[in-house]
Amino acid sequence: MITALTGFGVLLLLCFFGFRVGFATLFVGLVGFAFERGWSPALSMAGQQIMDDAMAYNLSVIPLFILMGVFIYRADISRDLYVAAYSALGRFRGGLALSTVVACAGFSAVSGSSVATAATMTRVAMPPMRKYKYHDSLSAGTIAAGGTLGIMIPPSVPLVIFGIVAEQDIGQLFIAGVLPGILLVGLFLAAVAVVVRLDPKAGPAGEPLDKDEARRARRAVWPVLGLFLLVLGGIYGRVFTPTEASGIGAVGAAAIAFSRGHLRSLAEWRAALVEATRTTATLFIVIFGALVFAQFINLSGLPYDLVDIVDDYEFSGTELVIFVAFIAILMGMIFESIGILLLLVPVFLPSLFAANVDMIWFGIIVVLVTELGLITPPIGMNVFVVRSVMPDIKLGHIFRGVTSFIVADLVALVLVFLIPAIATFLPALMR
Amino acid sequence: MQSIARAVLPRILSVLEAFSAILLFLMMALTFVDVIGRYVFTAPIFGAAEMIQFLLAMTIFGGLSLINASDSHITVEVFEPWFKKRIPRLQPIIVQGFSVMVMMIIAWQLTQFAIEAHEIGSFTVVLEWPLVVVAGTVAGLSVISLIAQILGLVLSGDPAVSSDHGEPL
Repeated sequence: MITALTGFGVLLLLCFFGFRVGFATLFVGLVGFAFERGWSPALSMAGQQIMDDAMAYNLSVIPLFILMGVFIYRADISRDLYVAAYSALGRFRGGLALSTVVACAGFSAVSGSSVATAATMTRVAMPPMRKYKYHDSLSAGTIAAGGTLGIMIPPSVPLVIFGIVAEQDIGQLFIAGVLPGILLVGLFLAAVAVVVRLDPKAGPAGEPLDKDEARRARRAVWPVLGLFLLVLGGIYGRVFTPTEASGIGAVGAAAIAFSRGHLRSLAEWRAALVEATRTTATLFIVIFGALVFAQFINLSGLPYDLVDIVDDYEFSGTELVIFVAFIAILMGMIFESIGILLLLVPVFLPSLFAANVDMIWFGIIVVLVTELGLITPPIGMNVFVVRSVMPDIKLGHIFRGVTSFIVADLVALVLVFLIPAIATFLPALMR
Repeated sequence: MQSIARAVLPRILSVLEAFSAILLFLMMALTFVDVIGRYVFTAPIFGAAEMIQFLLAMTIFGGLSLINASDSHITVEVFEPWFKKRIPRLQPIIVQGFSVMVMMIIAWQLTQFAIEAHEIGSFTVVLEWPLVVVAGTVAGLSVISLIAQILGLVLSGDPAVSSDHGEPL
């Protein structure tokens, strides 16, 4: 136990100093393993582990969903999503912000990237909200928080990572994310409604939209919605595996981009594919490092010591989940979602199994918590993304603006916690 | 040294960009065609899943050169500025030196893995291809990633400059 905790401590120090997270975790895992078993087994374990993960069929879902996201991003669909949402919600008080929530949900669901969503939607939604004199805190807060919605709405890379680490069915995890995702969208809409009720000047109602423009936008977003339903429906009906769904999603996204006048040259294709490859490699170095590190943690016996502690103190599954979620919140102040999932989940896996915790439900809880880390200080990555696109917005305003959404996130967390069926109902129908 | 790096690195990266772009495209096309083949023509591609596994490994290590060259790795940015301010010259040297060292270990072990696959003469499960072909390619790509990483550092000249990670070359 002491060795493992020392390992975690050293890893934190290395990361704080600026060492690249993937390399640091790999190195600490390697040295820790060598400390327990000697250098030669440690080195071959690392080589074997990296090779196994690089060739894991389940992980091939990651580059293909990233590619789907890159294609959708290049399809330039964000404005149409926004206009289509506005045509339905614009007439209400805070209509532009409500539309932003829905457009963010749609865009981040298919693009799979909260950073890309926040950056894109800042460009699309910020100017109209400024025109109608929305308070910057409401507009920027909505965009920063809206970008996080895609983490829960499948296809989602964090859910894939959780599935790999916790050895759970990725298809079931995706389906489990659907209701919590919809719940979050509803709560975010409610958060906007509350803010504009308390301060009507923060988000006045918009003007009705030109009918032709609304119809054109709605027609343009249909294919995206169709693709989303095809990918999820295929997984739900077990028509195809998540990897196959991601391949179909990527081809569909390319077709949508093509039909909208993009991806018409070899150079565009190359740029999109290279972008997806780079993101893939960035993620996989962290995955390799974390899984080597997990080997060391397993060897150190820490996960099994925790099982004993849980037994000795007769912790219930619920108490254990609260405890792990609390640690995840703390880790969210340092690491982003992938790092938290990869480092935290392996440690508690045996105790969670021993306490008979439903791992699909637990996965949704942990992913919800990591989503929170994207808009809470000190990191709050999405807040900084919005700021970097619109540098004249005060950082304090954005953080104030996301507060109501943090509350919404917490409400969702409590609801999923108290009513596990929100997460487990749909996947249970698949089984 | 810098002039060599300036001449060599862009070429390596250009080839690897094309290489990994093609691999990823193949991965997408293969999954798509396999599903269509299965449902429409009841003729799935034999060993498609295994081919996807190989493509995945090669795509990752092809892409690794690209991000190594520009040092676009994920970092924790909470305290890094504090260290950078206090030891502006030393911090990047230590960080980059460490990255190169770990990358060396990765390349070395993957090469070992490939050599063992060759010596044992192991084959892949479904397609029964010699494992050394895939393992060797991955090992080769990891060595190229290491070279790209070092050239990237040389090209940035002063290590202090190279620490501005996150920006592609």
